[in-house]
Amino acid sequence: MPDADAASLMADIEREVRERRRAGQIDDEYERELDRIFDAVAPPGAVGSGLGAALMRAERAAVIDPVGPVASRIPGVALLRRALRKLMAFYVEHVVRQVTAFGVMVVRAMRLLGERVDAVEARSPVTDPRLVNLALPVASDFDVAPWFDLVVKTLAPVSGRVLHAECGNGALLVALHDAGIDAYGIDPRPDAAAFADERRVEVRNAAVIDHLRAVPAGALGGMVVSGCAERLATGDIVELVDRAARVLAPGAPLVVLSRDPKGDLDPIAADLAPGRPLHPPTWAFLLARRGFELIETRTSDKRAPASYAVAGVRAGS
Amino acid sequence: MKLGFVLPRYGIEIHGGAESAARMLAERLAVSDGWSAEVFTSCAVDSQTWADELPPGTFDVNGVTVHRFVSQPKDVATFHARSIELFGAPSTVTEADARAWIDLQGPVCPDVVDAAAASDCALVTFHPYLYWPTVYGVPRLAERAVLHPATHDEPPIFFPPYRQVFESPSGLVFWSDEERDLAQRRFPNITTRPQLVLGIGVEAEPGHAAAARARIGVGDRPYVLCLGKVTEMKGTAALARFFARYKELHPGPLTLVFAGPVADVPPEGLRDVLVAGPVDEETKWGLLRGATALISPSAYESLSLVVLEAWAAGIPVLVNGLCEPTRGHCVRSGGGLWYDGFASFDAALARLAGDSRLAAHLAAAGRRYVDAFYRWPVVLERYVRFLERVHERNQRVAVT
Repeated sequence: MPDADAASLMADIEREVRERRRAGQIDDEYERELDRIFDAVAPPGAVGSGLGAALMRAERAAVIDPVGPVASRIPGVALLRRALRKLMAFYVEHVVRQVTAFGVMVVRAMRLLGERVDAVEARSPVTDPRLVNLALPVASDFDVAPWFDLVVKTLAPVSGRVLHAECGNGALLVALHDAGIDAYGIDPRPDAAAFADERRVEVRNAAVIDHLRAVPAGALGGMVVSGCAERLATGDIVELVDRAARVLAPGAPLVVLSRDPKGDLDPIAADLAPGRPLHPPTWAFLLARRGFELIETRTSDKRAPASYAVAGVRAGS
Repeated sequence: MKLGFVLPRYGIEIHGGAESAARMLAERLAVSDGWSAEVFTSCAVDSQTWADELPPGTFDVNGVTVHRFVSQPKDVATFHARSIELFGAPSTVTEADARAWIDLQGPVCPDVVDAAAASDCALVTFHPYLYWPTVYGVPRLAERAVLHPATHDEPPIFFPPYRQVFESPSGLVFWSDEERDLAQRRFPNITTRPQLVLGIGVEAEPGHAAAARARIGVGDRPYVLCLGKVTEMKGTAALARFFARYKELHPGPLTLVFAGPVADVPPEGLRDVLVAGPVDEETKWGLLRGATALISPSAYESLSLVVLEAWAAGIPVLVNGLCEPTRGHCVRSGGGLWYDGFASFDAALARLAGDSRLAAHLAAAGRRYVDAFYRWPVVLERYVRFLERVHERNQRVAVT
């Protein structure tokens, strides 16, 4: 058996289903009846495993049954309903034919659109699902230990939880915890959680921007960004700063730790990541643009690889 | 450290997912160095009626101290009628109507909450989010409370009182990433709270395939297995019909076996569908080992222990693709396929039943996934560390 993951096996199954349907090998009416039974116990609004599955469900829903139920516990009502149904059948069926045709056409148009979006996504390293889902190893992160003192000093006076995104092996979280700072980390890479367990710190398996989207405004007392700071696409970096400005409480500090783009880059990230490390003034510009104050940049030529920290404070303290 | 468990029902007689998982955690914690466990629960066995079937008092259940209290009788008919009324537009339900519904749902058992509050447990865990003891217990014990919500995408999650249930504990424990995402979407304020995606430990138990086959009368026919409560809400009726149609298209000896308590009998006269009813653990494991695949037809699972057990037993799975947690297991592990309707069910089952190399490949991937994340020593270690962190954090907050 070749190394086939579940998602590609399912894509293969979806293709097979489409081909069988095109070839008329599926009894549409009988299948629709079965699928109605299946849908009846589905969570409201459930769309399944992706666009293909959602379109399949939309296609099923587009086919409207013109024969309404007539049963009733009230004597005579069922008979009345049956008579009404018969009288109105010519009109209802006329409307249903048009609505069904419209629904089916919309779903087919969306399917074509979906295929084009897939093709466009596959041509950009920022959106290509084959690259997006490729987790770079935690071991490729640069060592942030030389910056521990600065980060702890910056965050020590905060109240509220501190987020480290992406926290990699969790070493900085341990330093924050030892300094009495209530911190947790997020990292989308599966190996990060294992490191975190060993170090007894709280780490969630999540992508940085997805997590920040879920955090309520002003909920965080401080934030440290590393790892993703040098790998995210530029647009995502801009969104990250925007979202950080929203989720940090007034007066809360944000510290960005990154390799210097003029120094040695991590070879794996340089080859595969959608983004590259920014220059320190770029971070300072982005932070100032979103209203951060007291922005400071520190570089450390003596540390290898060359790295820097940019810190700012959320306005409004 | 002493850990409390508050549940609507508890005991070896109880087969519900959240209750079984809590019991497994409690029994293992009770024998861990430096830990003890104490349970506060009702005298009920049946979650439909909460009738006081077990005696009240304090008992030892597999090494765990269990305190059982009587609860108020449940008006089942009124509860069902009110559920139908409220579930149509759950986000418009008022606080008062929701609380009245929660009272109807039960088990109304104030003594459970009082006893947990009066206990010397350092932390008290509540399982699951839905029932009366959790709704009234979590806000009361807030800083000592850890919620295991077992969140489902279901109408009551939109009822106003559940916001306080999710937002007031000092920690949350989820069965899967998908459950966590669902809870965070509904209650964003929990996003920064201490939390853990734990899962549950799985240990394969003895059970021979041949003996299990003989016990349920499936003979030497190949079979796919649906394990757990047989009820329409779990998708078993749809599965039975799907399978019957599959057999029309793919004649052969393959049989569908339902093993578990039967609430809704599958439609009669369907081809090659065998309803075995409830089975003991040994038979269950024997059936798992002898099956071609396990099918999980439910769209409402927050973890699905049986999927993990199937992988531990060495078989692949086929799950309802509308259930994010079980589909997520398959995506992450590569141990199974999923279906979103009959056509994909037909294609996926034909592959599992007809390609033994593919089935073995999926089963091996599933087993690796269970070994990495769902073995008891791994799960318990992570749970204990989380509880220690929450407790330590509580103490720090108390000091500051």
